[in-house]
Amino acid sequence: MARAHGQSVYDKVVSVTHVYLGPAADRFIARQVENHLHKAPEELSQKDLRSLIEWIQVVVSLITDDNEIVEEYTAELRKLAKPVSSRKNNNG
Amino acid sequence: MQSFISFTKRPLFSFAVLASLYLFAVIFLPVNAATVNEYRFSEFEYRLVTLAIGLPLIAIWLIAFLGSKKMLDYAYTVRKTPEGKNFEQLAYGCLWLAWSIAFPLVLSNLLGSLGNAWPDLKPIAIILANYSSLILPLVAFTIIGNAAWRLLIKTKVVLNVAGLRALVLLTITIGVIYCCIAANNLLGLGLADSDNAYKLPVWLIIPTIIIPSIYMWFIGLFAVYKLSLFGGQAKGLLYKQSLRLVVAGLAAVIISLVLLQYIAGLQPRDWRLMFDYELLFVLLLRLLSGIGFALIALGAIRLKRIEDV
Repeated sequence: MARAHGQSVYDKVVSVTHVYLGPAADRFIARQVENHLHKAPEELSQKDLRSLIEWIQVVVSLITDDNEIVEEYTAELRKLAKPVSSRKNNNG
Repeated sequence: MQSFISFTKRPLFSFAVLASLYLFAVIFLPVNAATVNEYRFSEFEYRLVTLAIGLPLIAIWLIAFLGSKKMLDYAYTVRKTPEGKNFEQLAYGCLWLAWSIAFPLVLSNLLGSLGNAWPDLKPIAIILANYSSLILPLVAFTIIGNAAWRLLIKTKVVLNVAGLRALVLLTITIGVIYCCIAANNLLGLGLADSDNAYKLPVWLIIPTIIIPSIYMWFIGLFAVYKLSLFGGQAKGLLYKQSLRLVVAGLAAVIISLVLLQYIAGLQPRDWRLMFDYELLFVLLLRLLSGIGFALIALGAIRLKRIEDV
């Protein structure tokens, strides 16, 4: 399982998604990983994030017409896709 | 019994049967002589006017059964999730609600038409119509209330005491007003006297019509209260937006049914078609229930879309 700082990449993505999809977040992300990346959810790694986020952007646009929410959600996901050192520099 | 249960679980088939029965009664069964005489209609004009009132109602029933179907579809999609069983119960509550707004009217129309030709049938027709318009919503409200309660427990929300008190006070208020008016309508009658609008002895009206009606209104309004709490506590911006449509829709349908039952209880009718403000108010309340089911359908479609994409 691809882990960073005790929480897997998958768990982090689900955590961000939970803000927008609530109880449907876990199964939504699992479905995207299985259907579009053709791997098991627990195998999701940092390098898969960019292509996953592209798919999520397309799919969430089918759920809502509100582009602001779509942009906000994908922006939060893109923060996860940044390398850890780059995120640390931005925070510090 | 099994085939009856499976029939009632098929929303669009149920609608087709109910709409057909209603149209059959309007087009072929005997007309109400009192209405024909009062408004000087010909038989054809009477049927035309009844159809003109009936067609929008049938459209509302279609929306109701479609809304229930969409909820059932969503419940089936999430059947393996932790909240799946509760949404399934909520969906069946929606289906019972759809039956509640259609079946009593169909039964009332059929039996009333038969009563026009055979007056001896009228008391039985009135009794059956009254009980069906009481029992079906009561079952629907109970199922929806139980589902809302189980969904609420999962969110660990504590019921607001002030809200509960307001609800109890509201029910007591409308119940007391209802009792006063019902008592006024039954004034001067003996306990065993059944020569009243309900065609039941007075001693039977109180425990089987009046008390269950007030209980039904409380159960219905309490279900609305629980649903609104659940909708407010749901997590997830997009999920919550869709869920709120379902909750708002259920609230609109339940409130419209409670008000319709209240009006029917205050002024029991004997199937004379009367063009008055009460008819207009009743039609507006039926329209409200149609809007409610449209919201339920829209919310269920959006919730299902989240699970499908």
